Amino acid sequence: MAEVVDVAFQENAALIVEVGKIHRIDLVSGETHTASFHGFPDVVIRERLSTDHETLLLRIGGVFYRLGSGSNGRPLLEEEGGYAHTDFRSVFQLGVYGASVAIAGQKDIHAHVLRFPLSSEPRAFCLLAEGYNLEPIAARFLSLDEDSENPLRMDLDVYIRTSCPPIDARNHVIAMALDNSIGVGPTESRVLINLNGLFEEHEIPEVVALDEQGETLACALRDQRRNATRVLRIDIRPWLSGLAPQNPKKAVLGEAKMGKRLPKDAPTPDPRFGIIPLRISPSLDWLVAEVNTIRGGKTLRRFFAVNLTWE
Amino acid sequence: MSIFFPSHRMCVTSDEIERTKRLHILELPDESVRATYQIPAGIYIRVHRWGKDTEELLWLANSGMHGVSLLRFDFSGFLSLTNEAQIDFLDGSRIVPARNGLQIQWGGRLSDKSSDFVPLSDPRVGDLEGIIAIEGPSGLQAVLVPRVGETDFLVFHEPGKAPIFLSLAGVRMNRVEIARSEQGVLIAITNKSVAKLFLLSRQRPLCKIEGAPSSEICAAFPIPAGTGGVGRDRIGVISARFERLEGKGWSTILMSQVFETNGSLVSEAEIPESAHEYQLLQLNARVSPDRRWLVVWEPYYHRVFQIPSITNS
Repeated sequence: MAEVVDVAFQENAALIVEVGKIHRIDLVSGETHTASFHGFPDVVIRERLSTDHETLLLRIGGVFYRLGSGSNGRPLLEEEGGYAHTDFRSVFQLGVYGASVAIAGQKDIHAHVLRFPLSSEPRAFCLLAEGYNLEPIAARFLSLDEDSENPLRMDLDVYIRTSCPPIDARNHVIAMALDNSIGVGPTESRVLINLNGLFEEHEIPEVVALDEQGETLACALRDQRRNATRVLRIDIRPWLSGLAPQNPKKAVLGEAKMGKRLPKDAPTPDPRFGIIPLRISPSLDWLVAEVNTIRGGKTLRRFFAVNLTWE
Repeated sequence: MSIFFPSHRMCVTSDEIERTKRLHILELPDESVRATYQIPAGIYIRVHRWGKDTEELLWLANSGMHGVSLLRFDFSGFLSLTNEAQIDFLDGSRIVPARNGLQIQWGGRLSDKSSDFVPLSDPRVGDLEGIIAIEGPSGLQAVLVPRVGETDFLVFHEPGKAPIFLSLAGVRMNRVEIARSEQGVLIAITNKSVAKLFLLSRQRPLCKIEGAPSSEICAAFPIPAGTGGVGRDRIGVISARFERLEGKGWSTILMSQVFETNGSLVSEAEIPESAHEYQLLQLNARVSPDRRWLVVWEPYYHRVFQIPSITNS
């Protein structure tokens, strides 16, 4: 199966990119559209322009393409000529060229850049890894202050999922799902503190998203034993002060109710496989996930969005 | 896996899993981890400041895209790592980043002597495992550098002298302890079979203690004159003693021993609650600078033990 690259939320739609295909789920009507493309994106930029508008830029064959939607609801790739040569250039050179040499010699390194232009510095985060993988792999994480002469802030070796990187930044706070833990920290810091003791040993944090204030974190956890997923809201302020709470479970503010699923014909997850959460929307009200079913001995992948409500 | 004591109440341990470096904070004597951080890759620098015998300052020499940089740890509040140009000492001595390593500038003077350069990696003497800097009343006294390779070395850098290479298989930063005595800086160094006590600037050890049969030395530490009302420098040794159980495997108990510099055993006691039903081999352990706590840190086994009070001041 093709690798899942990333998910973006654009107004009332979720756009899901896998290598060779783009899927759009309309979050009002539930309509879905799919478009194809050729080539392999070696650089992906997920940019959040506002809480309800994100965009994805894919570099394919050395050219950047911006992901959009046509009037008929079909996803589109539009050439983004000037982008690589304007404000992004310094990040790109440092993040991709410099660090890829530093981490993996001659191997192919993909760069996944998350930019938050509306946020205060640092606004760009870069994950460098060998390809897109839904299971955690070794990667290098950099946070970059684009306006500074010495732009590098955080520089960490991490073990992380590289498909739809589970990383979010809001209001000077960064959070990421790391292997079997979650790391959070001030964006200007060089370290992350782990949110230990929050969930069961057989639960894996798959996806994280911060609220606008950077005070609470929504986190999708997959139970490896039961293949069930739950989404928790966690108050991360105690950890950000450097004092992990004595009873971490008290920091759990609630669990999201999963409501409407789109598209309407989304298959019911097979209890043997469950779902793979891919991303939570910046407004924390949608979760996009992958569901796999077996038909005629073949695994079929579908994507769906589920509405989250918080009590 | 490294163990540090930034204050008399705090222990910091560090390990690496799947290439990611983690740092755990413990509040002594509590064994539970208070916080775990993901931190950048790098070589630890342990600084023993003059007048602060129970506080170890911690730095990281980080080799990144722009060469080597020095990061200073601050454990008050959310862990912060501050980029600094150099580590300064009372007499103006400095440790500064240099190309692929660190340069010791004795008295603050620039030197082109290669002997004052500490390379991160050197095919002749192995990889740098850590750096221990010791400050005295008149400034930087010594820099001790464990290097790991085909042969393990502890390299002694002192002002105005050529570095001394002490070969000791298995020597690591965790296995080097210092204490100040009227005579000078006492340094205890150990591997699993032998413990040696040195006085800084003297090449011959004051004493050498061999491990007992069916045991491994986990830690050794200097006990300066005046401790417990005894007017002589001594050495403390923590050993894992193994016993074969009938019909079963080996069990482990940790022992605390104190020796005179002539090698005679002064006292011996079991460390309370240290009995373990399995054989615990090559434990990563350190004794706190106040000689009250023994911290054992293994990936799936970590404990804090109280050392019997005979070794305490």
